[in-house]
Formats: sequence, structure tokens, C-alpha cells
Amino acid sequence: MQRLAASAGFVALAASTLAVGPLREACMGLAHTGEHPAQAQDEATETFPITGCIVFEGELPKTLELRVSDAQAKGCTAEDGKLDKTDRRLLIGPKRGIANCVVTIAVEGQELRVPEQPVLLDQVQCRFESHITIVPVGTQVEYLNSDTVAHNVHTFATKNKAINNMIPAGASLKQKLSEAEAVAIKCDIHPWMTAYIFVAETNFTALTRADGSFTIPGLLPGDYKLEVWHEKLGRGKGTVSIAADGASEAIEIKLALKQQPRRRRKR
Amino acid sequence: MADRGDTHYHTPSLNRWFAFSSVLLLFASVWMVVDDWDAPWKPYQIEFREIEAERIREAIQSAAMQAEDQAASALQATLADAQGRLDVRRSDRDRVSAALFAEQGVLFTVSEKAKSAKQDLAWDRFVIEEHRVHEQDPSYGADQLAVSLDTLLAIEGEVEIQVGVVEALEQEVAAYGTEIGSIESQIKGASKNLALLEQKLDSLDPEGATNRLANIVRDFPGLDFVDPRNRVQKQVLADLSFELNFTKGRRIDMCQTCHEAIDRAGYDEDWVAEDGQALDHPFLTHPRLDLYLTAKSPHPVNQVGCTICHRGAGQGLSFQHTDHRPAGAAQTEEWQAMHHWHKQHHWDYPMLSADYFESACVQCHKTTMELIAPEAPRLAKGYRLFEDKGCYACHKVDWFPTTRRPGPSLANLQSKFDADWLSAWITDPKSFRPSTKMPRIFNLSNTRPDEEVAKSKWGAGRSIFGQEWEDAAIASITAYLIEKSPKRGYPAPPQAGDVDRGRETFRVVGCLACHNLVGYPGEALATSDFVFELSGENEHGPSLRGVASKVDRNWLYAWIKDPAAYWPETQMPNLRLSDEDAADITAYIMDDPDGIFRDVPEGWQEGPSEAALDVLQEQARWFFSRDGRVELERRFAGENPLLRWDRKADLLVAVGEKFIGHQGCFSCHTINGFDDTNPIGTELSTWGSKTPDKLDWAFLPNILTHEHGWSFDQREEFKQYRENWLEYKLDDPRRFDDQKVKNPIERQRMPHFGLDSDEVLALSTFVVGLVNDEVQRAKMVPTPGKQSINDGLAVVRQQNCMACHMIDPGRITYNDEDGIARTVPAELIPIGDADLPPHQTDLASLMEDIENYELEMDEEVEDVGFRLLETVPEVGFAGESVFVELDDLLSIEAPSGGDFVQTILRYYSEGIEMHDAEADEISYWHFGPDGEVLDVDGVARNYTELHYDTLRWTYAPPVLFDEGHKLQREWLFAFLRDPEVIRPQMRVRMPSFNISAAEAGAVADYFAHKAEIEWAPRYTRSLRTALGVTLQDGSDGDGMPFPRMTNFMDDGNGISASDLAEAAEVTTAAVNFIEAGSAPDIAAKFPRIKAYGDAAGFRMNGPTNPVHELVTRRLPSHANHAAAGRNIATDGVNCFQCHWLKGQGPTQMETPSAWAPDLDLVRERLREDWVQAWLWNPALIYPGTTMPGNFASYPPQYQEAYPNSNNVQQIDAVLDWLYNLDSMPAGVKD
Repeated sequence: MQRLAASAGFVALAASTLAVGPLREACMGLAHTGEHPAQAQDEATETFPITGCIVFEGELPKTLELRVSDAQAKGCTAEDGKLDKTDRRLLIGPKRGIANCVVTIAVEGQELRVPEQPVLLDQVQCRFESHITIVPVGTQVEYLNSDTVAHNVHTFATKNKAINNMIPAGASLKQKLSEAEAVAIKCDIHPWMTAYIFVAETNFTALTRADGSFTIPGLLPGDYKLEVWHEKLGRGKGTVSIAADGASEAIEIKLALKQQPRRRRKR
Repeated sequence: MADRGDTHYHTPSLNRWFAFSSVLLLFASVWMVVDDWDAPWKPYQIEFREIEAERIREAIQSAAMQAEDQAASALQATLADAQGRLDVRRSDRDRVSAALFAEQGVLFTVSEKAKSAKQDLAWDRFVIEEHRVHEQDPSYGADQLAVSLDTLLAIEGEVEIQVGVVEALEQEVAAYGTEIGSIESQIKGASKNLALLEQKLDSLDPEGATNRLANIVRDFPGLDFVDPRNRVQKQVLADLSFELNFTKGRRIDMCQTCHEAIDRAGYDEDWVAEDGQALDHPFLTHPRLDLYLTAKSPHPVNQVGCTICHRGAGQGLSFQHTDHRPAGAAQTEEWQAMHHWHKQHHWDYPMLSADYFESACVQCHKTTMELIAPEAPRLAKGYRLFEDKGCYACHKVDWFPTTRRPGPSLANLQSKFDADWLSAWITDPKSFRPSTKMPRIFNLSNTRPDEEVAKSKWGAGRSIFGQEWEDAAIASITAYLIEKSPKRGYPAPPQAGDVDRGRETFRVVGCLACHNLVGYPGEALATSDFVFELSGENEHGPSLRGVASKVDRNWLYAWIKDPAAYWPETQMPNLRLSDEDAADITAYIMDDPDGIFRDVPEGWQEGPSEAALDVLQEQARWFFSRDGRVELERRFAGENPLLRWDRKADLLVAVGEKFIGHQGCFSCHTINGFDDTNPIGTELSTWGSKTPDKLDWAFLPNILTHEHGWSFDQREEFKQYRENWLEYKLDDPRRFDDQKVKNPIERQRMPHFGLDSDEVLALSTFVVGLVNDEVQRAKMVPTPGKQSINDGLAVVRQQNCMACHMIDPGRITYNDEDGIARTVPAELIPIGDADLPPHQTDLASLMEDIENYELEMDEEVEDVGFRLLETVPEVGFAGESVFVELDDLLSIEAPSGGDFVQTILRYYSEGIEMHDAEADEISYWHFGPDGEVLDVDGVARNYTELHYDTLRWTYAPPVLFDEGHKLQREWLFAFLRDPEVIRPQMRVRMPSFNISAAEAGAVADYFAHKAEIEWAPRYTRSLRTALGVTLQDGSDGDGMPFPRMTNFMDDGNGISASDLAEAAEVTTAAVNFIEAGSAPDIAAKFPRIKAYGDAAGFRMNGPTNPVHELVTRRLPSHANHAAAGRNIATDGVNCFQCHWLKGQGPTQMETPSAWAPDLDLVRERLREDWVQAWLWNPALIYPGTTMPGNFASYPPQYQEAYPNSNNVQQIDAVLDWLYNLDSMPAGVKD
């Protein structure tokens, strides 16, 4: 979790919010009470977090490991090491909470803070770390290869520049992402390696935790629209209001597997 | 002679006669002059002159307005400005003069003061000196003197300052004076210019008073031979001949006498004169000046004229004599009323109607029919139908390039299907396969004998004229074909096929690139599979619906293994299927688990045709009657039982042979026993020159007259145009036998093709164009490059290369942010969050896809994205995406070819759509239970999550629009004749085509020449774009020649055409023309742009002439560098993670989606320049390719493999290594 937050570039922010309340075990049903000791000094700029949860709707899909043979993974790990074959593209917790969803709130008039240092996307033991990285528009991303084999970083961007560059062991490559979109990143040499960089037009973002819960801190009282994105489940929407005393209902948004639309037969 | 009375003439009467004849002569002369003057074309010229005058006035007006806006108003502004400045300066001068006067006064005062001070000092000095001398006091008065001196000096200083002030003021005044003078002269000049301009506008008026009298004199009857304004405009076409009554002469076209504006731009229908009259013929401009008439077009009017294309009488000078052609009945009536028009009889080449304009292209473009196809779509369609329907097989056209027999060989048909199927097929082929090209030969209007004729029976004891006649004929043809095609007896497939594997192989190996599985008319297809729908347009091969109910299983296996073994001339290529694959496909088709191969259309009935003995005898009688009565006697009532026609089996074969010979089946099919028989159709090489009176119109005009209530004139006019005959013939070939009583074997025999009206028109357009060689030297002589492109395109079309390969990108037209309409070579990217891009056909289809998406995903789609496939200045580099709002999308054009890519993408990522009719459910089928596809190594893997780009570049047929730059011509030639495996992971096969060396060469040359022709425009566009690039990360400081296109670039929008033009010292128009591919501009100006690009360090793949290629890296001087390249390849990039090498698999052997071609192929396959560009930035050539950019980083990598090297040196080394791989030590590494 720390690592995710760090790679998203909000070290200080994320750390402070995590300190606010204990991580809830159950994902749903807990509202924020408005008590907010850490930020109570200044009435005028007092901000509050919102919390919520993304849950899966419908029949649970089979959970499979990534299909990677030993020959394919040659060189990925130390000789006695074992490749982590967890498929992170769709992780559903025991209470149907979905991990790795991107939750964003567009706030009018906000000043976008862009990290000064490049945000790191590492390649470790033939996996991208992290699987989902959220960055604000204008962030420079550094693709690092910490492995001993070469990887190619192949981004399938449409609004940003799509790149496909070889990154030998230990090397890195930087790219500035200046348009909002979810950029898929793959390594063609190791096709199970997939990741996304979510380029957001807002700083009010969160990545859902393993149980599907999320917290977005720093919001003034008011009404907000939430947008949720998941790489396989598509998009979802929700709304939340923060009362003057900071109280807000916990949000629950449901996502389900969707069929791709197909071309209809012309007659 | 004195005796006047002796003269034989009588002077007074002679005088009278003389007077009379003089008057007559005078009258005749006047009449002649007047008649000559009163030519029917003159009113047109006069009217046109008025139109022209009005347009000139309009132009002047707008010019005057412009002049007012620009020149005059500028002048006036200058004047006003000058006047203003003059006023200011004058007041300045006055002000300064006044100041000067004042200062001069001051100066005077001060000077006076100085004078008196001097006097004071002199007086003081005198007094003091006197006192000193008298009083012997030398120091007396020193103080006073000093004070006086100081006072003087001070005053003198004041004077000096004042003098300066005055002088400065004087100078200022003088300067103002000069400036005022110059302003005044400026004002004078401007006023003069203004006057001149106004004068000029006046003099431009066409009907100005000065010209009027002169014009009257010029056009006066009798004087108008000197220099008339009204005159016949003619084009004498030295290179074109014209034949009239067996004499050949120069072709002279006088059409422009009336059609004066035809070659002048701007005289369009939307121009309206002052009196509200819209412009109409004959005053209109030709609608296609880019193609015709103008000097820059390929058909300049002074070389080509008018009648070579339009026909009609070029020397006619009246509406009637030119043989104008009305379009339709309404215009005919109008013309009859207005011009007393009637068809000009006995003119061999009447003007072509608008529907037939394209016919005329044939006479010059016989060798370039493919090139002109886009500009003559109807003709192109007709030409292709002529080939496709096999017309050429019966009808000789001496120059027609195709010679193969269009129908399948029947030499071994018994091993393919049986006699019952064959009989039913001959009866009506379309009842089995509605889309078949095979025409119908029975059940037509004249296929049964007339009752009248049938009565004159000889052998049978009854009249034979009904159904039984046709049944017997069909039975006899069947009998002959079966008899003459011994059953070869193909062995059973060596293994039982697997239906599921067969389903997958059938889908991915390429069958649906040429064959379709469209529904029967009125039938709802069992599946709504997108791919079936897509393949519906693939009419290259026959539809495979019902094929399992037709063919023999063993035959099918043998056929797909090696089609040419059964039918040597077949176009079906050899897919080099393994025994297992062939057995699987055979099982899938014959066992038909999906219900698509076995069902037949309703009404199809297999079964033998009945043939009664006496009917056969009667038919034999007709056929053999030429052998004479004695022979017939012997056959029917002879004593020798061996000769008698009473054995049905023998008679069937004998009559069948006659029917086949009569019907000409052998023209299209190989049939044993008819090897050297001549085709039955009329030669059509010069059919278009055949005069209508030589055509047998039979009773058709009468029948039509009766049907439509035509007048006599209408009926006669109908017979004046050969097209009329042809259209009726093609629509129903037996029509001309209507109401005729004929011997049953002498009737019309052209079969019925069931052409629709568009096809009829297209085919007749082509045939009407087949005229005798009246055109002489002006025949189009294409450059060798153009000819190669034409010939290659023909093979590309005939072999259906475009089913799999995209040879030209599609185009998308949109309004950009500035509202400028742009057309760019691009491909659509997926809508919203969809996985696959929509099928790029047209705008309507995209809109439908978007609607579906919105409906099913419940979200609104606002913009559409597409990816540039070539670098476009001011838009972006190849591979960049552009998003435009739906409203700004103007049109979408499909790429040339590549539909099969969709088939592959759909299967790998979605599966095959299966329809459960009972449950009415759709599911998706993959070979494996969890969406797996079988890979070539026998392992099933799931590709549903792979990005479509990766699938496309890895598993689908490659795009070919840069192929001439990419491939060595000789390699491509060899590859086309005998393909080798390049991407081993691909299931779809590049087939072994059944083509000759000449055809393979034509395709190889086609790509080479196309690349050459496209190179200059592409270079210019890329140069312009690259010049706008700034490199990031300081990589331009890497010693890389500027501006290398690397992965790291931003604002690649390029510089404008005018900036490049200025830098390269050419005109902006030249840059634009070069980018548009204009050959003369490229020849004239491109070298300068190239020189400028070279000087700027710009490089792009491909030399200007890729036909002459040279692999320079094979020279010994490159060998040393190769070792460094090998080190980079091995220790740096590690190419062998993905690339095969000398048949050895890559490290990622278990990841076929990462496999890349064998590097050992590079040397003989790829062109050096292309590989170099490819290594710099693969995505610029194939957007989305899995090949990464390996040499784009800064600082340069791989310093251990090649110490102190930069990216340029590294790529150079790798190239040297690649091209010398054969001489490198075996194995990957030392």
C-alpha cells in the first residue's frame, strides 16, 4: 500500500490520510463522522476525507493464475526464486470488494499539483510495480528495469505518445504524460506483464485497496461526482456530499463484467 | 467584217443577257457573302461574347473593389497620411520658426550686451592702465579688471549658447522644409497613381466606345475574311487520324467554335447572368479540367481534341451536323423543337451518350486499363466483368490479356461429383448456388424447338418440342461428360480429421479471404457472425454454401492439398496444408457441425434427366442431317444393326458431344475430346466499329414498337445506335430469336448470365469501346514505371492479394481545430473503451457502430480517434492519434484491402460466433475451453487479452503499402513464386500462387515502381514534419544528424509548405504539387528539396530509384564493423529474445506472440535503407508494432558492447552485422 501511494506521488498526503482512521475491515457501511483531529486548526480551510467501496456485481469469475511457463520466465527471478503469478487484472476480495479500481473526483477550480520528481514504474521479477499507477496530467514517468533481463515498455496510448522502447537490464526511460487517459503498458517479450498508468486531470484520486475500499482526503464540504475506472470492468459513477461538519455517507459503487458491443448484422 | 448582219450574235440581246447574268452574279455573290456570314454558330459566339463581357465586367468590378480595398485605398491612405504629416510638419515648422525668431531676438540682445561689456572692459582697462602709469602703482585696479573680464566672459558664453540655439533652430526649420518638400512630392505621386488606376479600369470595359466601330467593321459581311471576331475555332490534330469513306485524313475538331468556354475554368452552371439566366450549354466549362483539355492535364485539347472521346462529327458547324446526342426522350423532344434535331444517318460514330463516355478510353488505354480504373469506374467494372464472367473465352478480343479458361476443368469431374448432381446443375446452376458465374443454357426463351419445326419430324413418330427436348439434351451432355472423365478414385484422407481443429484452421488459415458463406436469398443465415458477413463480399472464389452436398470427401481432401493437380489453370492457390490440417478442414466441411456446408437452397433437386430414345434420335437427326440423307436413312432404317441409332447409351454420348460442341462448353471448361476446338462466340476486337446496319436486329425493333407504341421515327432511331442492340443482347441473349422460326440447332446460343442492369451497362460500355485502330500516334505510351504499376495491379487484383493485404491506407477527412478540411491516410482506433477498432468502410457504418456502442455500453461517444498511417505535415507523425468530434468527421474511406486482418483479430480476441437456433442464443467458440487458440507449436494459448496491435502485427497478414521500400525486388520475385516462412507463428498462410514468372515479376515491379513514384511526396512531407521537431533529452547533441526521427519528439507539426519552399528555393506551389505526387513537378523541382534535406542532415528510407538496388554493406570494408554489431545484438539489445536466427528459435520460444522473423533473412530480403529507418523507429513505419525502438535513448546505451559509441554508430554496426551474417562464425556468439 505504501508503495502504491508513493508511486502515485502523494507520499505526504496519503500518509496523513492513512493516519486518520483505522483501515476498515469491512468495506461497506461506515460513514465518516466528521471528526478530524489532524486538520482542525483552521476553520476556513478545513477539509475532510470521503470513503467508500467498489464492489463486484454478478457471478464471480474464476480466479486463475497467470499462465507463465518456466521457459517463458527464464531469467526473471533468481534461480531458486519463484515468479509471482497472481493475476492482478481483476482482484475481488472476500466481500466482493474490487482492488485496483481508480476513483477520481473532478473538483472545479482546483490547482493541479504535479510531482516534481519523475514517478517510478519499476519492472521487478517480470512484473510491473505497481500494477496501477495514478498520476496527474503533466507528470513525468520513469520506466525502470530492475531486472537482469531486458524488457520492452510498450505503451498503448492514444492521446499521449505511444512508445515502444527496449529497456536493457538496469536502464530506465522517462516520458511526460500530458493528456488524461488510461495508458495500458505491456512487455511484448513477457506478455503476462501488464500495467496501467492512469493519467488523471485531478489530484483527488484513490486506488482501491485489496478489500475494495478507498479514501480520498482533502475535500471541502460540498457535493461531488465520483468516477470509477477498472481495467476490465470499465467505468462507474457515483455522488457524495460532505456536510459542513465533515460528515459524509460511505459510497458504494457496483461494477460488473460487460460484454463488448458487437457489430450488428445489417439486413 | 463590215456586215453586222452577218454576226451570229445580237449585241443588244447579248447586252441584256450580260446585264442579267451580272445581276444574277451580283445577287449570287451577295447571297454567298450573306449566307457565309449568317453561319449557325455565330449567334453562339455573339452570345458568348456578351457572357464573357459580363464576366469581365464582374471581374473588373471585383478587381476594382479589390483595388479600392488594396491599391486605391492604400494610395488614398498614403495620401491622407501624407497630408496629415504635411500639416503636422508645417505647423512644426511654423512653431520652430517662431521660436527661432524669438531666440534670434534674444541673441541680438545678448550680443549687444556683450558689445557694451567689451566696451566697458576696454574703458576700465584704459582708466586703470593710465592710473598705474601715472601713480606708479602697478597693482591698481586688478580686482576691478578681473570682475569686468569675468562679466564679459559670462556674457560671451551666453552669446555662444544662444548662437547654438539659433543654429539648431535654423537647422530644424530647414529639415522641416525638406520633409515638407518630399511629402508634397509624395502626395503628387500618389494622386497621379490613383488617376492612372481609375483610367485603367475605364479602359478595361469590353464594350468601350473606342472598340465599337472597329468591331462593326471587323464583323461586316464581306469584310469578315480579314480579321473577324466571329471565327471558326478548330483543333487540327496532327497525330490523330480520321477515316471517312475509306480515306484517312487528319482529325479536325471544330467543337470549340460554339463550346468556347470548354477549356476555360469558371464557366459553371451556378454562374448567373445579370438577366437572371443561368449559364448553360454550349457555354459551360468542361467538368474535369484536371483530366482533360488544359495544357497541364494528360489530355490537352490541342493534342487530343474532342471527338476522339465524345465521337460525333468534329467538323460539323451546326447543331445538327455535329450529330449531337440527346440524353433521354425529354431532351430528344426539346431538341426536335428547338434545333429540328434528328439522328444524323450514316454517321458511323454518333456522339456517345453520357452513360457511355468511358467507352472511348479503351482505344488508347488498352495497356493501362488498371491505371485508369479510378477515373473510369463503369468501364473498369465492365472490363473486369468481361474477365470475370469469362466473356473472353468465347469472344476473342485480340489484345485481351487473360487467356486461361475461366471455368473449372471437367476432365476428371467424376471424381468430384456425380451424374445426378451434374444434371441438376446444368439444368439451372443458380438453383444450387445463386452467386455462381456459370450461366444458364437451358430453360430459356429459345431452347425448345418450335412446334412448327418439330412437325417436320423424320425419325420419331410424333412432334417433339416440349420439356422432353431439354431433358434429353441435359441427359446427353451429362452422359458425355461422365463418359469422358474417368473416375480417378482419390484415396481417402490419411487420417480422420478433427472437426474442432478443422473449424479453427478453416477460420485462420485464409479460406474466407476468397470464399464466402453468404446466406441464400430469403434465408436468415444460421449465424450473425461478423466474419461471415465480412466475407460476403469475397466473391473471388465460389461461395462454399452447400459444397458438402456436392463434392466427394476424398476429392475435397486432394483438392485443398493441391488444387492445380485437379485443375492446372485454377486460381485457387496452394496453402501448403499439412495432411492433418487438410484432413481437419475436410472433416469440418463434410461433417458440417455448424450447418453451413450441407444445406442447399429450397427447390434444388438432384436427380437424372430423362431422355427418351426417340427424342435423342430426333436431336441426332438435326445434328447429323448435314451428313446427308443416305446417312440418315442408314442410321434410322439401315440394315447394319451396329450403325443403327437404337442404343440409348451410345446415342446419349453421341448427341451429348454435339450439344457440347454446339453450346461451346469447352470454351470455358477443359473437356476431353474438345482440346483444339475454336470458341463459338463472335470476335469482338472491333465490335464497336461495326455499323448498326450490320447488326441483326431481327424482330426486336418491331416487337418494341408494338410494346411501347413507338413512332416510325423512334423505331428507326433505336436502330441507329449499336448500344441498344448490345444492351438487349446482354440482358437476354436469346431475345433476337423472338418470333423467329428456325432450325433448333441454328438458334442463338449465347448463355444467360443473369446480369443486372448496372452490369449490362458496364459490359456494353467496355464492348462499345472496342473500335478498330483509328487512333494513330497519340496512343498513351506509359512510362515503364506506370506500365509496371498497371501490370502489377492486374495480377494483384486477379490473385486477390488485397483480401489479406492492405496495399494502400484508408483515408479520413475531417475538419481540424481551425476549421480546415483535411484528408489524412489513417485507420480508426477503437470506439470508447472497446477492444477492437471498428471495421473501416464508410462514415455511415462507423456511425452505426457508434450507435451500437452507445446503446450497449450506455455512454455517449463524443469523439472519434484515428491513427495516422503516414507522416502528415501540420497534423503529425505516422502512428500519432487524432481525435475529432463526431460533427467534424466528414468522410471515411476504406483501405485498399486487408479485410482478412479483421477475421484474424476477431477470432483471436473474441472467437467464432456460434448460434444455437433452438435456444436462440449466441455464444463464442475458441479452440480451447478457456478461449485458447492453437499455436503452431501445438500448444493452445489464450490471446483474448492481447492488444489488437500486437495481434495484428504478429498473427495477421502484413500491410504492404511501403513494400517497395522495404523489400529487395529480386527477393520478392522469388518469394511470390515460392514463399518461405517469415513469421513462423502465423497460422494464416501466404499461399503458393499458381502464377507465372511474368506475373510474379509484374507484382515485384509494381511495388518497386509504386515506391519510387511515392517516394518524393513522402520525403517532402516527412522532411517538412521533421523540420518542426525539437528533440528532447538533449539527444540532438548526441552527434545524431539533425533531425533524425526518434521516439523522442514533440510538437512534430512541421513547418509550412511556404517556409520549406523558401528554404529550398522553390515555389510554394511546387512543394504542394510534389506532395500531391505530380510527376512533372517532381522531375523539375524535387532535386532542390532533396539537396536541402541532405544539407539539413535529414534522412528517409529509400533511394529515389529502388529498382536499382545495391547492398553496399556486403563490401569487405564493412566486415570489421560487423563484430561490434554482433556484440550489440548479443550483449546489448539481445535480439535473440524474440528473433529467430538461422532456423534456431528465440529465447522466448514459448511465447509465439513475441517471435520475430529470422535475422538471416534480412540480407537477401530487406533493403538497407529501410532496415536503417526501421531500427531508428519501428513505430514510425508500422504504428503499434511489437518491435521496440532499441536505439532511441540518451545517453546511448550498450557502451559495454561497443565502447564510446553513439546511436548512429551502433545502428551502423548492427546493419553491418545483419548484412554479413552468412560470413560470421556459426552460432549466436563467439
